[in-house]
Amino acid sequence: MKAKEIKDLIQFIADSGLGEIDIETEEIKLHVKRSSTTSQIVASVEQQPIISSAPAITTPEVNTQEKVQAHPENSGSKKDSASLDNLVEIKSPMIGTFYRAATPESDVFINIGDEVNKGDVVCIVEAMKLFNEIESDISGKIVKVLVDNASPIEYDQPLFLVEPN
Amino acid sequence: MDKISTSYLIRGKTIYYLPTCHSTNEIAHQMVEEKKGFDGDIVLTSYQSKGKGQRGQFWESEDGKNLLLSIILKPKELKAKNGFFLNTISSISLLNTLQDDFDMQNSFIKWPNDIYANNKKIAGILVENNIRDTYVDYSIVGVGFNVNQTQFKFGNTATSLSLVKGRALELFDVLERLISNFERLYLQLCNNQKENLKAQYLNSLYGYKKSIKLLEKESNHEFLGEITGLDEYGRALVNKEGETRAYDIKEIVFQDFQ
Repeated sequence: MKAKEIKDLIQFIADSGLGEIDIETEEIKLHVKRSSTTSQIVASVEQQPIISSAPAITTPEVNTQEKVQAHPENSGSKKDSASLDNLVEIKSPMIGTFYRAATPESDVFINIGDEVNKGDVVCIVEAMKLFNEIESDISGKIVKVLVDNASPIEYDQPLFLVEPN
Repeated sequence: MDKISTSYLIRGKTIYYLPTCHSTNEIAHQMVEEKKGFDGDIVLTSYQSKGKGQRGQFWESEDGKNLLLSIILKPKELKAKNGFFLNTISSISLLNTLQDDFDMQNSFIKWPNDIYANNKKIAGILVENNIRDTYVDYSIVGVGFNVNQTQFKFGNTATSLSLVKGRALELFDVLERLISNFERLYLQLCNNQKENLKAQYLNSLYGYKKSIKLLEKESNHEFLGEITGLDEYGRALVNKEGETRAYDIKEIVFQDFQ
């Protein structure tokens, strides 16, 4: 199923009077729920996330239980204050290279689903041969790792999505 | 662990000496985490069983011959994105020791933090920071400085003070000079003299305003270029065929050091 088809489908549902709908095909499971004032749309994707309208939380990682939120582009003047609202990003304080473990041999600092406490080290950013342990500034549960290990990152780039306690 | 008190006011006030250890950076790190290590404390050893180089690489050093130490720093209000200044002060303090205290003018910094004398590596630096709320909470500056070692496994690429000067040197004397230089530069950083530090660093940097052979990794293109400065993150600004571009460490190779 293409992104365009999903978008059309979401638009169709948005235009209809349906309150809640589940659609399941071989490729995708889609669950759409409309609340009284906002439209909250959550798609649970089986394979590669293919919804391109939410780039901040799509990565090539495959995770069957991952929740990917889609913002229908044509929702008009309706404010979309959907489920991302309660998630917080841990951002990079510098440019450099992102590492999930202290050394190539060691375990990663943190995984999806792990509880993180304020002050826990979540990753290393190497910048010009300076190795920086980055502490989390929030406590909560890691929902998503937004960057692949050993990738270059920019200043202020979101690294992790956290559901705060 | 022996505790040695020195005459330094701030930096190196207390030196913790261990005859052997796995890595001074790791000991220093542990001391800070256990609230036993403070700004200016130094961990010194004669032999490291797991001396750390860059990301898992090993730093080779013969027992009792060289300076192997880690300095604990708690810089005030140093933004994580300006952390490069820790590389800057560490590199300059080693260069000053070579040039001013041992009259070795043929020495330079290879960006970002390798120290060379007579075109061979004489010292290496490994800075590890802990970042809290976008600031450097504490920093561990690890230094491996070849002093009296005269034979190296990797033959032609390394040298030592002793090889250059032709005589053995008193380790503690070299240490005192290094700490004294480090203290002066760290105070300059604490006093926010960043432009001054940058100028000192560039002044001793290999390829600064001089044409050198470089390889741009992305394009696999070799060219003659010169380093014209550093950007705010410490990236090298390189003039490549009339255009200036900022390079990160993984984007460029110095062809004369392969």
